[in-house]
Amino acid sequence: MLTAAWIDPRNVDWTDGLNPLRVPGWSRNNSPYAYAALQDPFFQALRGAGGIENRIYVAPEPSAQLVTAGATVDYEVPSEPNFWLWAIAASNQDDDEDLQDFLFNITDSESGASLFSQPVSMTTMNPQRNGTVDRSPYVLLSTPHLYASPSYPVVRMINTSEESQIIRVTLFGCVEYDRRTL
Amino acid sequence: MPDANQPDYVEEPQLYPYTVSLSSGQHLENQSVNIDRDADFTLTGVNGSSTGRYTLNFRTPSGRLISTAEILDTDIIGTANQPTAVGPPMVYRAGSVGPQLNITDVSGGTNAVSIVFSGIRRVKTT
Repeated sequence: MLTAAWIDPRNVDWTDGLNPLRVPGWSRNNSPYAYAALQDPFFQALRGAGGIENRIYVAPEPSAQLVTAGATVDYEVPSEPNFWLWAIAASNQDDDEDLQDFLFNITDSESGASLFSQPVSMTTMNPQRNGTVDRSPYVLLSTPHLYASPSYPVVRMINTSEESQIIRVTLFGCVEYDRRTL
Repeated sequence: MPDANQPDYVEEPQLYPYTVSLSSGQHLENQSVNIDRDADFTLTGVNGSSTGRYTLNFRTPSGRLISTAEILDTDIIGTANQPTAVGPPMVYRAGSVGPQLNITDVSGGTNAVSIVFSGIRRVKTT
């Protein structure tokens, strides 16, 4: 890493919030994963594209929905056509971190492709609990996933706690628009 | 070779803070974060602090809410040295109401909330 070439700040696009060169936590030394993910060709295309607009979907809706102990919720995300998912965040109502948890997975309604090979625990994917929140509250995907029309994401959440709790999975993405409509 | 008809711009850092004190369970809608009339604003990150949990939603430059439901602060609000990038750059026009907020306290008590929208202002020089 010490041999990495110096980059002239005048060559950095500071208007791009997802540019790993402008964000300390995503630098090559601090997070090689984020640094590489944000330079994935599809990520780069989204970062530089015109005619797209950011979208965030919270599952389930409303975001303060109480899920009973042991219950499984399948939430069909009402995403707009051609939704690019590029990051996720998962959380519950716990402030005191007494380790209430839940499992979740995100599946493509058409192709059946799942983000995780099996449901993953919220604690595993929550930067607040992993001590890396300074790098961002969400988890960047290694490459964006396109939910091409008529596909949409289906979020499965399983409350593995012995108590009812508010659980949320937040999807960060963007949708394609005709540039003239923006 | 630059096009002689293209306007010239200067880019400068810009931060638009929004501060509010919410009572228990209070919900506020369409809170303007007014953009200065002299320059467009490119939003590159969001950070903030609060004395309790809250949820929020805000509008994109086209006027749509960015999220289908209000987002928990810990899922989107970044830190001072690393504001959260909410996606590819969004440009709010000069003089607009900016990233208008809907915000709700979920802490169950009084909640002093401060949110900073950081980014770049693009000042036209010619």
